[in-house]
Amino acid sequence: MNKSSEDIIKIKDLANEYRLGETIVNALIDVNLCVEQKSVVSIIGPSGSGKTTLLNMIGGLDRPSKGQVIMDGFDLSSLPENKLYKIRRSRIGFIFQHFYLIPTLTALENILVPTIPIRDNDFKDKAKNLLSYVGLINRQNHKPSQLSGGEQQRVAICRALINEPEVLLCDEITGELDTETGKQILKLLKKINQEKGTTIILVTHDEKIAEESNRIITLSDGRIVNDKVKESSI
Amino acid sequence: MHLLGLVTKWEFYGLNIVSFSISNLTRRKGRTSLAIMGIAVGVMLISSLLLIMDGLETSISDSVDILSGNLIVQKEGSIDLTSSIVNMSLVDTLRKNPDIKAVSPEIHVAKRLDEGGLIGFVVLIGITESYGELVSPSYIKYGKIFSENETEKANIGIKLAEQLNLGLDDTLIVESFEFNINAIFETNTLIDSTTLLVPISDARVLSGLPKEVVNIIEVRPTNPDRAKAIKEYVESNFDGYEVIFPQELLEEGQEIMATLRGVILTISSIAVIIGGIGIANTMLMSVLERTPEIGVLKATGWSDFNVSYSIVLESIGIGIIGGLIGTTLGISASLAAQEFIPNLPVQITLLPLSQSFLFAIGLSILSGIYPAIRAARISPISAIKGE
Repeated sequence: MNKSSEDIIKIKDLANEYRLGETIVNALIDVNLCVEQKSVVSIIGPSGSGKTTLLNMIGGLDRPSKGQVIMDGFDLSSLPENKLYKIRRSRIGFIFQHFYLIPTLTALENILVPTIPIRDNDFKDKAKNLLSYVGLINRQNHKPSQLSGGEQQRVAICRALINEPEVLLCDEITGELDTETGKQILKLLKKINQEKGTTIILVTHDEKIAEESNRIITLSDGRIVNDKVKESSI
Repeated sequence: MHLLGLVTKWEFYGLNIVSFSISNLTRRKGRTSLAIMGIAVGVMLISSLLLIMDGLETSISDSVDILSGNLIVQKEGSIDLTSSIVNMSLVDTLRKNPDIKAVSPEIHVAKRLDEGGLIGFVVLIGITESYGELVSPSYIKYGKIFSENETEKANIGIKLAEQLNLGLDDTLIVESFEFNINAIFETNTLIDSTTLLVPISDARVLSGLPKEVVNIIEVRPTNPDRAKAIKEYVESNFDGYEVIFPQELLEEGQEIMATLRGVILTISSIAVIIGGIGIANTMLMSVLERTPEIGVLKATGWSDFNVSYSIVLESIGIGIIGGLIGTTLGISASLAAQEFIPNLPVQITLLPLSQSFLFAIGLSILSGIYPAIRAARISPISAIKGE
């Protein structure tokens, strides 16, 4: 376990088990991990190794059977749902393999979706700035069906950034993109990390993508089997 | 521009939970339209029937108002005026009563005309000149009332005249009689479209009643305070007769109408409830289809309440649009019914329309609750996985 005074995420003795018929499956076993602020961390491993489960725990989408996930002093594993959603809203941004944009809304409106419950119109300018940032300002009034896969993923990234999260959680985000578009998306994440200081955690099964990050955590059968810190960041 | 232009581009109003929910309704336009039509048909049914019922009730009430202050002497236990039989000798006796100002013997006959009024029937009321002492002459709009000695003359209600395309001096044939129209009256009640006033001698022939009897005797007291005394006088001195107040007829009519209204409301409410089930089904399908998306909403910071509220708002949206279409169709349907049945009184008022509309909204809220709860319970993880 790496420790630092600037750790934004601290994971202690994390375990998650679930029942599959008669069998109890241990999705995560005694995971201990600290993630430094402004770092880019890749979590790799074969299918079923527990990558996405770990990401969901970090994002407060799932609760562990044992252990703690502490983000900025908040123990996400014990927070009730009526407080957890506020953490997700203010501190965490999610990007998924499937973009899950709302087909009836424009690119700009899709970016504003997380802000709807906040009822603050100030987000409109912020959303436009984000679209400019990812090079899609001229596509702001286009519906998802009028955008390419890469453009849709960039809109999804803007949606994740609209609330200025401290941590961006990315689950196989290049999975539906071709290699070149995938590289562009990674380049964009690098830019976000460097310019906005957002901590990025990437789940991927693609080692080439993981190589672009400055720390690679390898999971196997629910355990961390390797934790490699690289000198150069993406 | 979103659905029906109710919510325009967010640049003007801001993307909020209402516009977001309404935009969701446009996703499956066919399914949303069917849910809207389901509720609209129910609302149309309920609002049109309420408009017709209100019209009928008002018309009956106004018809009774025309006879306000008068009493009706009839055979005890008669179920309607045409089945009552009263001896003519009672007319002279009542005229001698100092409490009575006017006495009008009447014969009521219902006859079917080929081109008649309400379901083809007209009511012929055989009267004498004394009828003029009971009812205000101000109701005569054109022409003049016939004299007692005349025969085959008729005063016709204005709506019946319009329906039969009759004017003054025109002829209306009823069985062997050729009635000359010498007056047209207007009371703004159901009577205008159902009734023909004719000389009592002609009505007697049409009804087949013998010379010494009539159906009823209408009586106007010298003072309204004397009405009860007259009733006691008749009922205690003349066996087999009763005196009724037109108000009692109204109350009986109102009771019947209230029962009818209850039956109609129950039946039409079932139609609206079926529409509500349609909304619930539509919303449930929509929630199931959008499960991953709801998961993403939750992952991005929407609370369970935000998700539920959005679903209920969609349901209300269907209710509002269905309610508006339904009430509009309800007005059209009741007016169309009036076209087919000209005597049908229809009263377009805000109350029944707003009641029907609010019923639709209430039901749409109820219909949205279960899908909203389902949506709120969706786990973001299983939703994102598409489970």
